[in-house]
Parts: sequence; C-alpha cells; structure tokens
Amino acid sequence: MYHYSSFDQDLVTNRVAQFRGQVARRLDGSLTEDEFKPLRLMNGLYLQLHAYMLRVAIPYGTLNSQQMLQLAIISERWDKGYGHFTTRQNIQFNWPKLEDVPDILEALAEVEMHAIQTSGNTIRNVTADHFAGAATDEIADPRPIAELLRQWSTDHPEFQFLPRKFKIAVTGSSTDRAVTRVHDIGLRMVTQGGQSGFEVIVGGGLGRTPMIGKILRDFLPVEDILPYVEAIVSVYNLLGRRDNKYKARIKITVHENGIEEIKARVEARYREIKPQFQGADQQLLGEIEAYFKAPNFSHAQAPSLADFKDESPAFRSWADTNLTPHKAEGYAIVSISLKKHGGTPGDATAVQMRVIAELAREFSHDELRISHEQNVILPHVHRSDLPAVYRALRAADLATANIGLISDIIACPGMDYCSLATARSIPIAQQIATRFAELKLEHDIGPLKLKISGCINACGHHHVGHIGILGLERAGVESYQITLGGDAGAEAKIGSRAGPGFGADQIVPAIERLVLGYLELRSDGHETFLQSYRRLGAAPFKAVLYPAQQKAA
Amino acid sequence: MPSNSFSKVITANDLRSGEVIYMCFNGGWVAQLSDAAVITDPDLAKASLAFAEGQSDIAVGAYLSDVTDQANGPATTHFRDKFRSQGPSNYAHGKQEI
Repeated sequence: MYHYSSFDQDLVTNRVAQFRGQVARRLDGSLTEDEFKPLRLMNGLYLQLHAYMLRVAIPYGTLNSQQMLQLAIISERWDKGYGHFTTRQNIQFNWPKLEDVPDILEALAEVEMHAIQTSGNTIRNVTADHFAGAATDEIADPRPIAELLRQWSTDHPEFQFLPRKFKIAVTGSSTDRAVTRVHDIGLRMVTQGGQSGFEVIVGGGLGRTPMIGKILRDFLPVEDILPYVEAIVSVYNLLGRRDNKYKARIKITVHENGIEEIKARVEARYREIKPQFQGADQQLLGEIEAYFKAPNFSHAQAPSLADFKDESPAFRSWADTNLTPHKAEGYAIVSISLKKHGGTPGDATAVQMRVIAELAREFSHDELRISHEQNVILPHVHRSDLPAVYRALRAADLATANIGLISDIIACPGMDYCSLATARSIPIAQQIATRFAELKLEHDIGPLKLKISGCINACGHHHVGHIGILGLERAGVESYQITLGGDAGAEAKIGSRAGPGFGADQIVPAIERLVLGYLELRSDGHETFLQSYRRLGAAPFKAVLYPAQQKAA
Repeated sequence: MPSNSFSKVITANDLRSGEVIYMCFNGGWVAQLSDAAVITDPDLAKASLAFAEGQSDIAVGAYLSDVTDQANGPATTHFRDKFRSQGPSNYAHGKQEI
C-alpha cells in the first residue's frame, strides 16, 4: 500500500501544528466560536449531540495493521474504547475532548493518517471498492487512481470553498461495490480496444433529492483522469448554486443545466487545462502504482471449502456468508461483520481492532479494507488459514455470519449521536437484527440489503436499500418511512416510498410483515427479495405492509 | 403547570468536553437537566440567552429548550432534548456515566 512521501508527511504534520495553535487560541479566548468552527471542521472535528466527534479519513478504505492498532490505541487513550466505521470508509470517534484533538491528530500523522477534508465544502475522502486488489472481476486495482485523487484534492487551493461537499468513488470492477452511481463523480473502470480507462459518471447523490448519476464520458483514458476530474470540479465550482444549500450539490447543477450543457463546459475546460498537465501527474501515478503491487501470494497447496467439512457447522455457516472468491489461486477474501445481532452497526471495540490488526499482520499480507457497508475486510487470506482466522474472530465476538443478509444493516449514527438527525437509527437496526435472529430465518431469506438513515441527508443510504428506512419527526415523535426496490449496484435505482410512516414501536413489526410476506410471494427459494419486487411490483408488498388499508379498500 | 405556558431552560455544549450543559439559577452551568433553571418569563429568557451566548469560553451553541416544570425538576418536551439530557441509547455513555 501507499506510503507517505516527505511532502505528504510535512503537509499532515504542519496541519497538526496549525490546529494545535488554533485550539490553544480558542481555549484562551483569542478565537470566537464563529472564527474557530470552520477551522475545526477543516480538520474533521464536529460538535454533535452529546460531544465532539472526530471523523478520520481511511483513504479508499485501506488500512495496514499498524494503522488499525493506532486507531485502537487512540480510542482507548482519548475516547471510550471504540470507533465507528462509516458509510464513506471513515472512522468516527464519538467522545474526544477538544484539548486532546491535536494529540489525536498527531498520533494519526505518526501512522500516515489524517482528518483533513472529512468535513466542509471540499473534496471528501475518495472511496473505492472494498475488494480492491483482491476481486476476481477486477480490471485493475482502482486505488492508485484514488490515491492520485487524494493527493491532488488535499489542500487544493481552488477547491477549498466549493458550493457544497464533493464525493468521489472509484471502482476497478464490473460489479459496482463502491456505489459509484450515487456519488458526485463516479469512476468505473472499463476497457476499450484493449486499453483501460474509466466511465465517468457525474451528478449522482442521495440526500433530500436522490439522483442516479449520468454518464459524462463512456470512456476516458487513464492518463486523462486528473485534468478531466479537475475540469468537472472547476465547472461545478463556478456554476454550482451558492444561494440555496439544498440546491448546491452537483446533482442539482447537472439537473438544472442538463447533462449536455455540463458536458460541453467540462470538455471545453478540459481542453483548456489539459496542456498544463505535462506528465508530472503520470509520473506520480506510476510511482503510486508501484506501492500497490499485489503481495507475494503463497503458492502453497490450498484446501477447497469442501475440505472443511469436518469443521464446525458454525464455521461452515460463516464460510458460506463471509467469504468471497479471490483473484489469486488458493486465497479467499474474508469479510468481518461489524453487525453482531443487537450490536451497533459499524462499531468495533479497541480490543476487536487489536485482534483485527493482528489478523491482518499474520494472515492478510498486512492489509485491511473498510467497506462502505460498515464491515472490515481481510483481503488476502490463504484458505489454509481460514480455520485459524475464524477461531480468532469468534473469540473476539467478530464471527457473525451474516454478510449480505438482512441483519447486515447499514445504519447512520442517527439521533443517538448526530446533531442533524431527525430520529434514531441505531435502536431500529438493533431491534430488526435481534428479531430476525430470533426468527432464525435470515439464511432462508437470503441476500437482502436493509439500510437505515436517521434523516433526509441519507448517510445510511436508505434510498438504495432493497428495503430502506428513513427516520423522521412527525407530530413530535419519531416516525419511520419505508422505501422499497432501491439498488446500489450496477443497475442502481432509487427506492420508492411504500406509504405512510410507522411509529418507533411499529417499524420492526412492519419489516417483519414485509419480509415474511416476501417469503410467501417469492417464486422459489432462489428468488431474492429484490428479484421478487422487480417481478411483482410494489402492490403485493404494500398489501402486506398495510393490511388494514387493504381491508378498508 | 399547563404545557402551553412559557417554560424554558438554557442548554448548550461545554466548549472543552463537548458535554451537554444547562444554565442554573446563579448563571453557572450544570450537567444535569434536573439542576437547570426553569425560566417562565420571556424577557428573562431572552436576557439569559444573551448572557449565555456571552460565555463562549464555556458554552457553545446555547439555545432555549422547551420544558415542563415537574415536581422533580424540568422535563423535556421534545425527544431530541430528551436524548441530549440522557445520552445515547446504545451504550451507557455520557450522561449515564455521571
């Protein structure tokens, strides 16, 4: 993986020193809160419902064992012994004290991490496929491009005050695991005539006006990525609306101006700035690519999964759900679920982070990924090591076998932590997962993406959940709206609202009715919830959700 | 006291810890809603909020929060303020550690 150059290290270290001074001046009264707030936000420090929250970037979701260990140490020393992994491959600490934050940032800088541009109207953490470098369907590892974009966008003077925040996602695979179609810019690697390049998607997004991105270029050669992305952001910087926060994202700019107008402007800007890119970016990309060379995979004889028939049923159940085929012979991708039934989606304790770090060091070529689905990935595990990995995970309460199932819920922090939230998400996720564990039906239900957001900003990606839940306030109480048929994959689709919302005590029974109804409606045991929904349409699902209304009608 | 009458507390977050705090009768800040001063006069509320906002070296984001005045102290009327006074629902952190 990438290692900081002296330039990177100086930039991050200097930023820590600057912020240390800014915090000192805030505490001694030289800076007002109005003066200080933009400074702390530039360094990822929010003031939330109960405490400060520090959001730390995990660039394109990649960590090594030393970094994971440092996150564990930070959580023990300056927080409450856990961290929360987010839907944008960040980690959040929910309880830091203001005066400790410079020390935390210094500890992060020691392991080549930072919290720069995890807030504000800037280019945020560039996210990528969490199976990058390991997936069987990968054209090439997307992370060198993501790292190039990270370096280019970090402290880019032209893009520090964009009309609104700006999110980029990259995938190198035909299967879209990075939700590229609902990002401000999505880059999807494709090949044309033997050459690899990117499909460039622009103007996707969730939030109060969800939109699927539109294709700006169906093929952009790799060498044009930086000038082309710079052209897009530069056009948006001038054209994007600054008069209305709710119309400021590039999705609205694209919607209001039309994709053809945006395309004409971007292409013109691209032609203008392209000559300034005289190869330094390509030289840098070449240097970055060298850091992402595949590890030296072992050629040792590997057992097939069938060879594990003498292992415990629990191991085999875990292997069924939490393993994904690897591009290298003899290897598997291990997904570690942070969705224990009844737990908080995306949370890991310091002890668990230490175990994960150790497993990465010993069994995964020192590499980890964080997924936007709030799980942790050991990307390169030799199949002969799977029983040992499983035993260690199980001992650390990390062996929940539910990847891709109904209890593998994405949930934002909601009103338990977030000051923007309109309702809680975490207790709803906990109750749904607990209920389906009691019913012992989730393996029978099969693949089902359930996603919960605690407000219209949609950090929990509810719009692209097969079942989405949106928490709102209605008449002074929490109310939960269900959307159906969303999809985050290659055929990205925004879900449709099913009908009136449910109270906090009614949402779990409603989800149970819906899912039990699906089991009755599906053509056979292989038809997934989403396939049934697409085949049958919304009507039969609404009928099971709102039985009283059906009777009345 | 009828719920439609004017009844507020002043709440904010502590600059240093980020913790939820409430203004008490002597103009200082306390961690528990039960110790907060309940203000029933709109003019006094306005003046007290201005006073709170003047203490930006202690308190951040001060605002007036609706309460009802109960025998055992003020009670929040909105669930957001209730959560602020009680801490998160998934762990016994924050206010639950006091």
